[in-house]
Order: sequence, then structure tokens, then C-alpha cells
Amino acid sequence: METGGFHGYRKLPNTTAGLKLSVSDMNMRQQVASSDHSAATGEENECTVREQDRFMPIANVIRIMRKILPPHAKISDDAKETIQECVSEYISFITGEANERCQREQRKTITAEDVLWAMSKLGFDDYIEPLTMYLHRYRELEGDRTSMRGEPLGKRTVEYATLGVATAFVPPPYHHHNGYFGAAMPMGTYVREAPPNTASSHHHHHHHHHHARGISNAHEPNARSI
Amino acid sequence: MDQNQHGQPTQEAVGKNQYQSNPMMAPTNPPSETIGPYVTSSFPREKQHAPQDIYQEQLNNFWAKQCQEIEETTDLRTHSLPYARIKKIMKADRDVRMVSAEAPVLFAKACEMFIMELTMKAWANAEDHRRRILQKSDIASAISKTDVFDFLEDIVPRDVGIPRSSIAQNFDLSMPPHQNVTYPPYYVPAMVTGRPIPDQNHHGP
Repeated sequence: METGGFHGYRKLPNTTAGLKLSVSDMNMRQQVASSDHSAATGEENECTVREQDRFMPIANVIRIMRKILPPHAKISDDAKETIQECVSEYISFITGEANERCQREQRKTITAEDVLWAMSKLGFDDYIEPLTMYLHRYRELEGDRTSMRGEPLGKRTVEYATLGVATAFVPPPYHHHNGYFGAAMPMGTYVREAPPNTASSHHHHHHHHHHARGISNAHEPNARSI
Repeated sequence: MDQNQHGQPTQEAVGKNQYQSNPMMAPTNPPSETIGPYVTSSFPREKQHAPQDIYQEQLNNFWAKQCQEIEETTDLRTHSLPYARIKKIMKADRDVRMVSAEAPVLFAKACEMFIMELTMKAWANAEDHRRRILQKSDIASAISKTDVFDFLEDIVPRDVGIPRSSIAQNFDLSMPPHQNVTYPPYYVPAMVTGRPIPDQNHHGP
């Protein structure tokens, strides 16, 4: 499945990968998902990265800084810009390590687990526990959307509105404390009934896990482009 | 693009609610209160240098608070950083092909904690120097004091990081060491003085 060395030709690696993957139906589905994504990836990689896209918005950065600073503190302009640069460097640093792991395992998609693994390897141990909790919370709240992934794009808009309404009612919080990275995907049951698609994310076989990820990626970008 | 524009006011609106829902972070809290911002209470202005255990206590409080806030969160759409921008930064590396939807979500929270940790440590440096304005040199100092932030050292030059050391370096450069050994300025004329002697001997016979 090695497709390295031909970054300049988007379609050639896909074709090769497709040929090798056409052994089973699941592989064919992965091929379709992968193909759709690779096209988008190629287009995005060829776009010129604008200057303002290299950093997080300064207003967001300042707001976060003020959350930790006392009220009388002031922030110089060069300090604001320095934090902006540090955040971009942090993202690139972690992403680079996560991507290396993906390539070693011959996978194309960087997952949340890869990001957590990279942070742990690069010394950001304190981040693992809160981020693992955050990821569980995210999957719990996104579970409603996951079960409707088969719906056409037109209905996803309605789905978002529904989620907005549901959020207004503030559902009861689900306290799930998990301090060990190895247990990032527990096999336990959730308080609320988990949809089958959510359950599939807790994989027993690597191949099944990869397949589920592929399906997820195929749908998510389309939703964002609406 | 419409979705992004719509998302922005939502973030700010919810951000304000989140801010109000955290009295400990309220700007009206005076620094003297124990419930107030622990950054201030952890570093009283009377102390010039904070002990190491206060730093550790501050850090432990920070991470415990992060876990607590995540447990209490009921709406994850209050993220502080835009997912699309994070994804673009991730893909600035041409080797990166595809990114799952969850990765930018996780990074948004990670970057928020990263900004707060770095800012907290930088502010400790500003307080050590009795300043109320956070400067680039404070960030550089925080980076140099934390091993896990080594990858950021290229962003802030070292000489900016430690003002005292840089002053010392300037002092050393402006005063070169003294050289006690010097050659006499008229060494060559002394050689010339020695030559007339043979001439006198020649005139003798």
C-alpha cells in the first residue's frame, strides 16, 4: 500500500491504492472514501496559504490569555504576536509527530488518537487526561449526529438546527473520568443509549476501526462545505 | 463561509456566558481574595522570588481546573479557536494528507490549554520583576524554563529571554580583559644603537 514518492500526481497513488484495495467490499468502500478525500486534500495543498491563515485569530488568543491573567494585567503587542506564533508552532510540532506515526503504520488519516499519542511522546503528559475527557465528551454529544450520517446533505442542515435546540435544554452532564491514555476508547456502556455507529468506534480489530474512520471522513467535509 | 461567520458571534456570546459562569475568573474579584485568580494570590507582590513549590501548586491547580471545566461542560460548541484555521495549519505540512474531523476539535482544546499554560508561566516572570505588562521577554523566559517548550526556542531568541544575563553579556563585551604584557615601543631603535660599536673598533687600529 505504499504510495509515497509521488506527491505531485494526485490520481496515480489513488489508482494504485484502489487496485490493491479492491479485494473486498469494505476495501472498496475505503477506496471511495479515500479517493474523495485525496482529491480535496490535493486541492487544498496546492492553494497558497495566506498570511493570516498561518496563525490563530489574535482576538481569540487574547481572550484565552485573559482567562488566566489577573484583571490588572496588560499584554504588550509583541507578547500577543509571540503567543500567536507559538500556537502555530505547537500545532505543527504535534502534527508532524502524529503524521510520522500514521506513515509508519501506512495510514493516511491523522486521528485524534494520533494527536494524543504525539503529545504524550513529546512530553505534554499533563494534557492527556483533560483531552481524553474532552474527546469522550465530544463523542458523547456528537453521538446524535453520528446516527444520522446516512441522511442526505439537505437534511443535515435540519439536524444542526435540532442539535441547537437540544443544546438549549442543557442535557444532564455525563461524568467520565479517565486518566490513562491506554484506555482512550473504553469498552464500557454510556449513560445514554449509544448509536451503533458510535459503538463501532470502539474497535476490536484495526481494520474495522480504519473502515469506520474512513466513513466518518467521507461525510464530515461535505457537511462543513455547506 | 456563511457557517464560519455565523459561528463567530455564537462563540463570543457563549464565551461571555462561560465567563460569567466562572466567578473565580470575574474581573471584579480583587486580588486579595483567596477565591480570586490564583495567579495573583500565588505570587504576592511582597515576595521577590516565588519558591518552587508555589509554582508546582499553581500548575496543579491549573490542570485540576481544566479537568473540572471539561466535566462541567455541556456544550462543546463553545470552542475558542476555529477548526478550519487549525486544519489549515496542520495541512501546511505537505506530508500531511488527511485529517479526521476529531483532530482539529482536540487541537482547539489543546491549544487553549497551551496558551493558558504559557501565559501563566510568562506572567509569573513579569510579577517576579514587579511589572504589570506582559512582554515578549516574559514569554521567552517561560520557554527557557520549561523543557517541554524547547521546540519554541527558535521563535524567541535567547538573549531576549534572560534580561539579566543579556545585561551581563553587554557588560563583558564593553570591558575587554586587561593585557599586562606589552612590548617596549622603541625596541627597534635599540637594535640600531648596537651597530656603531664595530665601526669604532675599526677606527682603532
